[in-house]
Amino acid sequence: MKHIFYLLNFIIVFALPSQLIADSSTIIEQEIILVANTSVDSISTRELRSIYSTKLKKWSNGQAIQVFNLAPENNHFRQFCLQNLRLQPHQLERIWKRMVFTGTGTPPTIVSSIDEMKNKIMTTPGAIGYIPNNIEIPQQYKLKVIK
Amino acid sequence: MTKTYLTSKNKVVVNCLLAITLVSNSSNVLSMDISDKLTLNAFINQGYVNSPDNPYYGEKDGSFEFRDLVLNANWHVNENIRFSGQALNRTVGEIEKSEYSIDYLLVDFTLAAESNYTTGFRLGRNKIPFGLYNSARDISITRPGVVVPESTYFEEYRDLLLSTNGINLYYDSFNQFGIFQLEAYAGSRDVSDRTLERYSSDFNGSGTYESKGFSVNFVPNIDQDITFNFSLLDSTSKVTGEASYGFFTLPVQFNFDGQFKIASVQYSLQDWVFTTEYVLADTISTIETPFGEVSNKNIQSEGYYFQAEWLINQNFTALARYDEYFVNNQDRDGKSSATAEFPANNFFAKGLTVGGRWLINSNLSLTAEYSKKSGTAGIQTATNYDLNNLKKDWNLFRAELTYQF
Repeated sequence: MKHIFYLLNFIIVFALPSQLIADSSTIIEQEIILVANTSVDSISTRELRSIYSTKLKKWSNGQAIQVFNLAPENNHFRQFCLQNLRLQPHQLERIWKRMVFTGTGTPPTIVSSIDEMKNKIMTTPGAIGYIPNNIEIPQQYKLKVIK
Repeated sequence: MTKTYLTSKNKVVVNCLLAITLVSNSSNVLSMDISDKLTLNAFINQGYVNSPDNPYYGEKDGSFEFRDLVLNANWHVNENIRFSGQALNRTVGEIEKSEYSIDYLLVDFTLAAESNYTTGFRLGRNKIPFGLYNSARDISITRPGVVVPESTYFEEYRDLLLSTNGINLYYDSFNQFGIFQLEAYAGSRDVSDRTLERYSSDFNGSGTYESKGFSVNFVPNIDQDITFNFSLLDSTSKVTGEASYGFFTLPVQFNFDGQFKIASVQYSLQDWVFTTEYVLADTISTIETPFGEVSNKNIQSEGYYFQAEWLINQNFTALARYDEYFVNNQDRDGKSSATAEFPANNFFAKGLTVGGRWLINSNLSLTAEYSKKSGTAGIQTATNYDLNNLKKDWNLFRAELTYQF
């Protein structure tokens, strides 16, 4: 029993206070733009959701889609979910975990930084990802979303 | 025996969790990518149950004897072929003690993947898609609370709802109406010793379930925040062996025929997720001996729940659920079904559950829920427990700490 109390104490002392205040003060909202390495120049929110839940596997031009994602604790991932997918990050993560632990699919490939995301998009045919709009990238990689 | 909260095995688990917590703030991995093609995932789940009124899986008053260890591997051979498997170790109160099982083990062949549809099949042991939560019923992080809603994901039929060894065909269509997903499957699995014990406490024998069914999921284009699902599972089993009746040991055959249907609707409204599911189960079970049929039960069970989840912020979610389950929907108070062995309150269960989840970081979460229940249908007690000792109105507190890596 003692161990459990130590564990709870640890969690409460170190992790809880930062999380209760984290929401409002530490996140700087940044517009997120979609980037892709394909001849397709626009997609719908619906297609984007299907791509990020890894159900839709081909672009409309027949090219295989390679989905890249930032780690779930990255604020840009959170903003991407809310702004572009109009989904809570929890919901998307639950879809991925369900796939992983029922053997029915594989979640997107995780990249460790915006720089890596940009590099992967520019070097991988069929790639899709997202970056904040203050990061420069050639126009040809920008993907429009039709609402 | 002196009651101890921490057995030596528990201590090891608790210490591991403590160590994991200490390092988890600096580790941000979701899974281990061995290569581009091979990924390993695992989680450990330590539960705590306090059931002061009735034994819950044989446990009362506070027990840590609820634990899951899950390890899986996923290997993409190429764009069209994927191998996937998962091993499970479960401890569930007095009912399962650190039991290993292969949760699924399959090879997935994608036959076609186009911009408007994907289709293929999976061979091997497949999880059964039934309703919104069944295939991931043992996966703590995908459940809305500590357990899947008990009114619709019957624990007493756990065996036949879990998985089948066979084939699962899938077809996903992206068309002008929405996203339409179909899974159809057929296969078989052995009936577990635990289920055989329920037929008769003194029984030697074996049998298999033959299962087939389908699940259809639809997300309309006009509102992608709504999901509809309908699933059907048809399962039959024949179990043959010997059972003791007083001084006699007789060859017996247990036949079970069950058809399970579930309809589900889930609506996500920004920070809220509303879910309702309704299940009907038609079951016929007979017991045959050389002297003829000794039992024939033909009943329709019914269950449903309404659930609201509030996604408060990125670290906290809250849950409220009301559910009802009737073993025989023609006898909702259980009075006609009651026998000396099975009291009336064992034929229905209604409950209100409130709870929450704290996503401490992307690897670690703490979930807790409290349920106030009326009726004990579906409760899992230890073998030979006198059900007349169960209280009709009871309280249950459940919590779990989950670490995924």
